[in-house]
Amino acid sequence: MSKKKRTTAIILLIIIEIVLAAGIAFTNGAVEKHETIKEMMRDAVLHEENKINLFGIAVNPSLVAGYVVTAVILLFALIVRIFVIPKFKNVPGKFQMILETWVGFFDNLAKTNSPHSNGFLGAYIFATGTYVFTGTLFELFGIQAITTEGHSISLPAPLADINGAIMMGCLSYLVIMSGGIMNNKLRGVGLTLKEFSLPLSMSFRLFGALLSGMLVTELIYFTLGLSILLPVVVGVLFTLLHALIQAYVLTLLTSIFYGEVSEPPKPKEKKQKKEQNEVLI
Amino acid sequence: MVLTGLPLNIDFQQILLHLANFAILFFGLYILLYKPVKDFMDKRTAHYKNMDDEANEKLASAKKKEEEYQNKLKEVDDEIAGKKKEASAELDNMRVEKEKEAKEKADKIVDDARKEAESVRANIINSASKDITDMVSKAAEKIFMSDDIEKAYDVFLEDAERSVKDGE
Repeated sequence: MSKKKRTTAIILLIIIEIVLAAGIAFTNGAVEKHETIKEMMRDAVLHEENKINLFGIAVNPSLVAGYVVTAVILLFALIVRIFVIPKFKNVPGKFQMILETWVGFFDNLAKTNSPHSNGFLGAYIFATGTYVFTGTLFELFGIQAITTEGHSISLPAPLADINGAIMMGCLSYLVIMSGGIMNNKLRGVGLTLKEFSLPLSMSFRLFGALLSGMLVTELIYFTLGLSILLPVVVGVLFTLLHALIQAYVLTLLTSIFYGEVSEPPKPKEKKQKKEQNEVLI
Repeated sequence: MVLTGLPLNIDFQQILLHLANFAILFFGLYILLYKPVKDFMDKRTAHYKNMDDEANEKLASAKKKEEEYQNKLKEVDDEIAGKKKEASAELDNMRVEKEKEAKEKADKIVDDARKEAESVRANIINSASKDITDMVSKAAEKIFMSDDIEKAYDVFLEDAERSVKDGE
């Protein structure tokens, strides 16, 4: 880049920042805050105040966010299915490479951690990982919804809701148990029940991680002084990072436990010794 | 404010709604994205595995053919060496026979020459006997016709010695 171009770019950036700062300063008074930071944070945890009407049922904003995320993902998948997949080539292009890496990552994760049975597990952790990752990134867009009380609210991550996290944790536990039953019958159930704290730990780990991310981000957005440059780092990088980490952790834990309970029982030592003796004889 | 009595406002209805949402997402993603992409990847893997297997088979076949070719070459070399050996042995036999033939011919020539020489000698001796006989008869004639017997006897001896010398 030449010196002239660099100077122009710097001047342009400064002008944009000044305009944005002015905009924030002038519109600050116009923004009606219907709740304090304390109320907002309490509501983020307990979901007592802000409800959204979904087909006549008052639900938490995270549930609506979940449906929006599902709709977006499925629309994307549909477009890919119709327009991209039929044009797949043996030597992949950039987009095909991304799709194959995406699918291949979860497929390999399932195969590596559960070598005995991984067909269903691969599909499950693919959907879970995609949902957690996309859902966590969803809060970055700040899509607005109207609460039942008529206030505007930014839709949070679907799994920042305790109900969403419990669903994900318990479902993962049930999937693990199904792997145990499929491969080891009653022994599989026993192996899964042995890890009785798993649904609780999975649910609350997910809930805690996503909620804390959301709270920190909200806290920074709420304070005007921090809302000029800091959200670029906090909002994007932190969210991206913990979206990746949470998607990876949940899918990894699920596949590891699934592999553990679906592993066929090892033959007993006595039997092995007997077989060895027979071979020697 | 709606409280269900459970901590953190856990609501089973909303858990089920989340579950329904995720079930839709799971089946949708499986049908639209996961399965087609995985099938494609599996097909491609199978395709390249087939290609690899075919290449390996061809390589093995080529190696086998090379081995067969080398064996045939070795057989041909052995055959050539055998033929050479046979030809050499045949040549040696022929040489020995020729030598034998030549020797026989030489021996025959020598025998013939000897026989001829003996025949010539016999002829000479015959001829010499005849001469002697003639000389004896002439000497006898001379003796009878000469007075002096002693002289005739000397003449006879001289003639005989001379004829022997001539015969030799």
